[in-house]
Amino acid sequence: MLIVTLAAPCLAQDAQAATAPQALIQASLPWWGWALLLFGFTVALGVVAVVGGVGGGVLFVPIVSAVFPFHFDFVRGAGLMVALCGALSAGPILLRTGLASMRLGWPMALFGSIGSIAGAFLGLSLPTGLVEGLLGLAIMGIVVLMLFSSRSDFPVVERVDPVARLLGIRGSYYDDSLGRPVSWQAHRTPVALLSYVAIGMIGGMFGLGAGWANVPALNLLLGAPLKVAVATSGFIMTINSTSAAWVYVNRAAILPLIAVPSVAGMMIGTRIGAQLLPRAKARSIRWIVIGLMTIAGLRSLLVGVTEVFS
Amino acid sequence: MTDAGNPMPRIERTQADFARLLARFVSFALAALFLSFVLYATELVPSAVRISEVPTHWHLSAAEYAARTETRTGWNWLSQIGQGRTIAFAALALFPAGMVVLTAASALLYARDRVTAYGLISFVEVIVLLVAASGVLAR
Repeated sequence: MLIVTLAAPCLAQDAQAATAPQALIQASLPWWGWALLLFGFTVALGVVAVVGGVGGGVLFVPIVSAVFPFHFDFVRGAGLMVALCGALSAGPILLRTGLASMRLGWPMALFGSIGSIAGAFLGLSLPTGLVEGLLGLAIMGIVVLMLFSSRSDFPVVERVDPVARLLGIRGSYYDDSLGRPVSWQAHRTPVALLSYVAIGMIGGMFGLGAGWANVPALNLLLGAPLKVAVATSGFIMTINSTSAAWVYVNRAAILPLIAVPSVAGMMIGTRIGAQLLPRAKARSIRWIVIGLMTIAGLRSLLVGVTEVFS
Repeated sequence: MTDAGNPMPRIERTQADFARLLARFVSFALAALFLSFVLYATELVPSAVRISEVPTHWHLSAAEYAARTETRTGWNWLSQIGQGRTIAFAALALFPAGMVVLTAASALLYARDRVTAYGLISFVEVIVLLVAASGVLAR
């Protein structure tokens, strides 16, 4: 059934032709069967996402759109809810421990949310085939970023820029692995703010969580320690996903039957993944994630090219 | 930069209060989501489109789905709040709605603590989120 689902968009040249395989696929399971299948699938996706070191949102949209017979609009809507709820559930503890910094997060979130609204609006206005093709390109770009970007646990910030000084973007947290407090400060803030408009736009257009871009931007561009970057990324995602989610809510592009099992599955999966993380072979799983994303990205690209040029 | 000699870092009061509000909201919103989905799935509250019919329409685009199933867009969905499907939809919308309220709370917390720049940033963010929520961009 999943193979039929995967092949259906490529076999069908137009919406009329898509009706027959779609009807066959829909009839193959009752609604609760679909809900359970989606729930189980997203639990597995959540486990793989955490162990593979990527956010659940970035795996959800390309893979669920490849495997399930839902329209791309609803997959993106559910993807945003997955990213929003996942980031929200981890938010309080990360803020309380001081790993996430609101001083670092708010300015980035403001610029990111403006981009996110623009992206969501564009994503729902452009032809589906074109957006899916662009998603393929974005996913391939993320794969390249995952393969080649380096990370720095404690970047050296020699000169704090005037914007960071004005906003007081600095902080400290207690690092358990070092057994002592770590202080940090930021540089290159104006460039980072502008980059957040682009990051937000990509996240909003494709319904992806933006952890894949947040972490390198906060860590390598602004100079935040890696743990602060990862934690603050979640805080920024709550704001950016919120702004894009409103555009999807207003277009009724969120179906509870798709979004609720996905949110529940991904939340449970990420918790299981966090438990398994110390024992899992993270390096091998990271390669599996990269492989899955490459296949899903190429498929999106193929669907986009097929639909745009047919 | 690591500093072995420094005392334990303290979290800003604004951030600690915001984290407390966020934790309460997340618990409430997740409970509401679970309950609303039970109401929808069990059809204790009926819907114009039964849950068993949804898979026959979910291959349509959002606009086509709304037209086919008489789902209202913008804020007009509130007029269908008596239906199970709309209650489940409202529970999902509660997450972004709560974040607007929490962002406004952040602006007030920063104002209370006299952190003017961040009070302003949060206030502008509230406006951005309200523009997105208003539905102006959905037309």
